[in-house]
Amino acid sequence: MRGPMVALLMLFAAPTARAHPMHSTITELSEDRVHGTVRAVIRVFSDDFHSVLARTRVDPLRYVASAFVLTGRDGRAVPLRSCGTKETSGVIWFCVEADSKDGLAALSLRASVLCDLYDDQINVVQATIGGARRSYLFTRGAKARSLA
Amino acid sequence: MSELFTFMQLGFRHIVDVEAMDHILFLMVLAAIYRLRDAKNALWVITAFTVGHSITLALAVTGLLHLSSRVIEFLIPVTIVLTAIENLVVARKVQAQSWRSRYRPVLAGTFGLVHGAGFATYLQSLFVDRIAVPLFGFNVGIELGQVVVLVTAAMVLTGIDKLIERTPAVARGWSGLQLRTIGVSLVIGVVASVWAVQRSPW
Repeated sequence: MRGPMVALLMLFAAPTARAHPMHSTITELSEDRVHGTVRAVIRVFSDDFHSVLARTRVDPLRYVASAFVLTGRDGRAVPLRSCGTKETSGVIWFCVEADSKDGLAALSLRASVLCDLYDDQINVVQATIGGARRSYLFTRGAKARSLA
Repeated sequence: MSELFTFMQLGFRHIVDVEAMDHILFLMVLAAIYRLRDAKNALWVITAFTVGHSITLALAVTGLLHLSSRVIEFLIPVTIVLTAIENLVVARKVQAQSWRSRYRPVLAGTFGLVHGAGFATYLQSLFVDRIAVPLFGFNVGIELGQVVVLVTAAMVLTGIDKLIERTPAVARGWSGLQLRTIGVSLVIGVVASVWAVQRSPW
């Protein structure tokens, strides 16, 4: 009898007072080979983003730079700069740019935006590299992946 | 990795997650009246549910349908409660053969419309361009996730059946399937009722 009782208590304790949340970010990654830059537009739910900023107490760019890391062939993180933000319908669009004369193919990526907030956070990255469309999915603890 | 496979993974992970307990319980309560040999019927019902939620998801993500997320979040546990009640009515009135009646896919499809609207409130903000492949992949992933949930539910329900077979009630003329349907529906119905109250927009 103890087993069913424990199962019932677990059901009541399940975090469903609010509806099934979607712990995902979606990023559009593109390159400008003429100017030697790459650009990422990261879409995050604003309430989650504000929660993580309140917790980490850093400014948005610093947080994004720590969680969305582009690495060059030399193994060093490529510095990111902001190219603007906008907020619509509960979603923040966070734009960052970096210099890369060889485009995205010369870089590796580790995306862990909001993974420090939720265990089941997923970062989906859609990239256009040399005209070809590719997708990457990063979960908590995922390692950097080459974009080549 | 292809865009389709990425969004299939996203849909799959979305459904086989402890945070998806409302959808998992809905699938459980839908499956509560079936035995392993009824797997084909159960799969039809779950597919109807997928078709239902795909319709509202597509309408909402493309901006053709605007819904209040607070009302939808309330309606999702209500669909669970109504399915549990329907199970209890069926368990009392109908012979085992009629339990496969064809209105169940319609019921699941209709309630799927509500659950799809629940996904949509989150996804319409993220899917902004080139939505066809992501949306299709997400739905395929959800369907695969539901099959996994259903298989797990079948194993759990079979375990419950074995426990019930030992109870004196079976000897008093109740079938094991009837007792299981009543037990599972009551527990899930009560839990979903609590959620409905917690999520009430009024």
